[in-house]
Amino acid sequence: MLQATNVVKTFEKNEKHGRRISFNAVDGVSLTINQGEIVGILGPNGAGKTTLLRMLGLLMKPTSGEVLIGEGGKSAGLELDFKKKIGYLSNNTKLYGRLSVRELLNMVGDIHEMSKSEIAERIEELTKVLDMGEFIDNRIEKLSTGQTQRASIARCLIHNPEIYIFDEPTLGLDIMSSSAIIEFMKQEREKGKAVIYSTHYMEEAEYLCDRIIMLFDGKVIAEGSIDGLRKDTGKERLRDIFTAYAYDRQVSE
Amino acid sequence: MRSRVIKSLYKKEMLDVLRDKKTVVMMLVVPIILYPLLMLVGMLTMTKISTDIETRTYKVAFSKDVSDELIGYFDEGATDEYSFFVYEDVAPEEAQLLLEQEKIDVYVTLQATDMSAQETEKKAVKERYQIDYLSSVNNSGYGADRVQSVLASYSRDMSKRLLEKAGLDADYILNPVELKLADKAKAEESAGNLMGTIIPFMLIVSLLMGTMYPAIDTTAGERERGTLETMLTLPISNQELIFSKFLTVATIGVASAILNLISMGGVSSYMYHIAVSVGGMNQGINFVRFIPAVIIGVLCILAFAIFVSAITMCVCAFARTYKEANNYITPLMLVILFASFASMLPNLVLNARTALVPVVNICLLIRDILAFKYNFAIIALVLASNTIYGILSVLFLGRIYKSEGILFGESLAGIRIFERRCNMKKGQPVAMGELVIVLAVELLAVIYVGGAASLASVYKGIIITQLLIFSIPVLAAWYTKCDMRQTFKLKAPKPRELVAAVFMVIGAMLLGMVLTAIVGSIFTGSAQNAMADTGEYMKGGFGISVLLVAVLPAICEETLFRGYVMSAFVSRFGKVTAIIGTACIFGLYHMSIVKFFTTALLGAVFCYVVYETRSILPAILMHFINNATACVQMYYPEIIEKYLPVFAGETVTLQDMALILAMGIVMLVTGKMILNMGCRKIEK
Repeated sequence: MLQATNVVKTFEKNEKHGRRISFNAVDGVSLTINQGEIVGILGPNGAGKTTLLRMLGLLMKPTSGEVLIGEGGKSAGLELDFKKKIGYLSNNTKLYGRLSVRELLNMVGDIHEMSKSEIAERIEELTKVLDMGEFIDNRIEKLSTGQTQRASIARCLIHNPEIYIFDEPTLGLDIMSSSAIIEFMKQEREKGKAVIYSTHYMEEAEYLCDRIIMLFDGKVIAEGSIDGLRKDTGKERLRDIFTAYAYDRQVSE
Repeated sequence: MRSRVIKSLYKKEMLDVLRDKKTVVMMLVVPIILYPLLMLVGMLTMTKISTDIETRTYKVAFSKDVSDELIGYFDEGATDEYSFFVYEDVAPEEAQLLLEQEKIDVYVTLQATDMSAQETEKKAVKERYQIDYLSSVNNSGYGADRVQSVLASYSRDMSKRLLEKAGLDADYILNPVELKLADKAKAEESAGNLMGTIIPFMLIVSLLMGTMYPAIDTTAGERERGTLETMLTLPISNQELIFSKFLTVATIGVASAILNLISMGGVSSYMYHIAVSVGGMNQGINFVRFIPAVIIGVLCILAFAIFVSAITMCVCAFARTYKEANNYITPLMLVILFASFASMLPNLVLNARTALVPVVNICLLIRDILAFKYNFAIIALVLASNTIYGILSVLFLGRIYKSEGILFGESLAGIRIFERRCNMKKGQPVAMGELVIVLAVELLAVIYVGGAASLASVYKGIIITQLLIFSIPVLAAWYTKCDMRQTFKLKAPKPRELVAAVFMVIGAMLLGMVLTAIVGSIFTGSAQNAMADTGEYMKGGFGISVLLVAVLPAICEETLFRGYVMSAFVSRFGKVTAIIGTACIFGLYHMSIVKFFTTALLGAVFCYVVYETRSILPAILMHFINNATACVQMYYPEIIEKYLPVFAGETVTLQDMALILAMGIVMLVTGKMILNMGCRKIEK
């Protein structure tokens, strides 16, 4: 479904002592996400989660390595047709405050080159599913946080993508809104969609993910089902498992 | 680019922008209400002031000895034009006080006459009057003018009387020639002329105002609100994204310009009617004659709107927030406003040269069109140059909008010069902000200090200018603790790289010759000027000239341009932008349109070599060769004539040009191949 092989992203930054050095925010990550599974990406701040997800979502070009999308496994690059298979949502994907939800969804549908009737049907459907009936024609700047989040989800669902890429979708949300998002991800898994998402909430990941990828310093330090990781480290809580892997990594370097 | 995507993006951008209060105010309220209001208020106060001047009663005081006859000229009803209030027998000391207290406007005294002269020569004595007034007080000044004209008529009457007394035809002697000034311009032409000086300026102001807000809103505003990343998740190419944004800004710019024109047209026609009814202006404007002017004007405005939208967007694209964008756009606005004063300069005319200067060309064109001066070749040139600038700026915009640094909100590196040195980190790259400051300081220093020194002597001027060019960036780099080796690329080059440099500089010089010939044919006349300057240098002999014209600039200018300037560009942009940017600054530094293209070309080649070799020495060598060749050409033209007749040929034929061009390209390619030879070995 979605596959990354040896993806590297190099940025430049100013280092303590010296010249502008380049460093790899994502350093040779390979991963595969299959249909009907939720993959969680865990890692501390600056581990490269957002950069990795941006590359998987085709927002950024990898410096080297490939992102492959779909069954054919063709190299995606930044080709537009592949973007149509992806629904990408992050804290940075804000909506146009001066448009109404309906106008926004129409625009996004248009850009995905869906037919007018298709768009109308889909908006109807999403309005029901996400309970947006009362604010669908309001300007987005007037909506509450929870309503905005629902509009955001509708935005990334409108074209019925096959792969969902969520960057910390529950960050800063209340219990109601975040559980709505978690339920939504579970539902999509049932439909056979692939979901990859990053989070800081370990409990949430434990509850939701089929597989966990742990990222540290741009590299994958552990990957597998939660049970597998537990067996490997002998630790019970995900938090401890992560610390154990990170510690191993630092020692081996 | 897909039309459907662009259409829906365009629709979205338009909705987004039009629902923003700021844009609507700038686009609609300002042109529709403010400008007409300003114009009307301006006109009203002007007429009020001038009628005040006309109808005012001026208070005139006379000294004791002024004759009653003259005072009679100032009595009520003596003149229809002015009215005066007369004080008689005022002593000089008192008058001075009254003048200062503004109790009186003017004081007239009869000068004491030299009695001895009268007695010895038995000649008629002139009456000498002195008019005292205060130039610092407006009414006093105007009063003095009025008094002067009354005195003139007094003088005229007196001469008439004297002539008649002598039995002569006074009227004929006083006015042997009669003059009549007739304005043969058609009424619409004079109206057009009047509007032509104001409208271009107003139009440019309104275009700027109109485009500024949408330009900020669709670029920096979008980033600030965080919707840009949403756009990036959608299947849109960067070209489609930026093109739709650009279309939006251009639409609003044009719409706002047209609104401005309409409202200004309304105000002008209103004022015209007032003028006609008052009777100050000839009747009979033929409005049909304005139609072609309006059509061409609209076309030009379209092209210009494209250009303005694109450059404002280019500037805003670097900003992350509204505030930052505002800061970036203000200097741009000032430059454009300054250039738009062109239409008010009567001596500046639209010709092949000014038609290529952005902003100035559009102002002059509109002025000319409104004055019914048509020259289709030049109109085409203006339209074409605006279109080309528009396209270039759109392409540049597309280029910078592609960079991930821009898209993911990396801001311009800050300015550290104002920080305390002990807080600075060592070995930082040069920031763009610092570069701007250094270039500004450099410009001022070169103009004032270098200029002052060159007044003393040409050689002093060169030496001081070059030392300034060298020392300012070095000081700035030292102060901001830049890595000197990296900033100024102090690295020993390989012999192979020097050989490549020689090939490339010869190639660049050959291409430069072709370019100079082309540019010279467009800007005729300036080429000779450039040659005349160089004659000054020749006084000191060949050796000193080589030292001052070739060695010194090669080291100093390279330190600044290929060292400091290019480091700043490289730390922020990619290779191509760094090379083009540095080359353009290098070209601009020579302060001549004719030299710009050639020097920018040379600069680009120098930059390329420095970028590839990471050493400044090849560039110094190249710069030296280029300038030294000019020296040789100056002192020993016969050498060049003998060995390289093509170079010396005064009349270069098209065939020669093609030959030079081909040779240049061959040299450049050879140089590049030599440069690349090493790289492949390393890869293997």
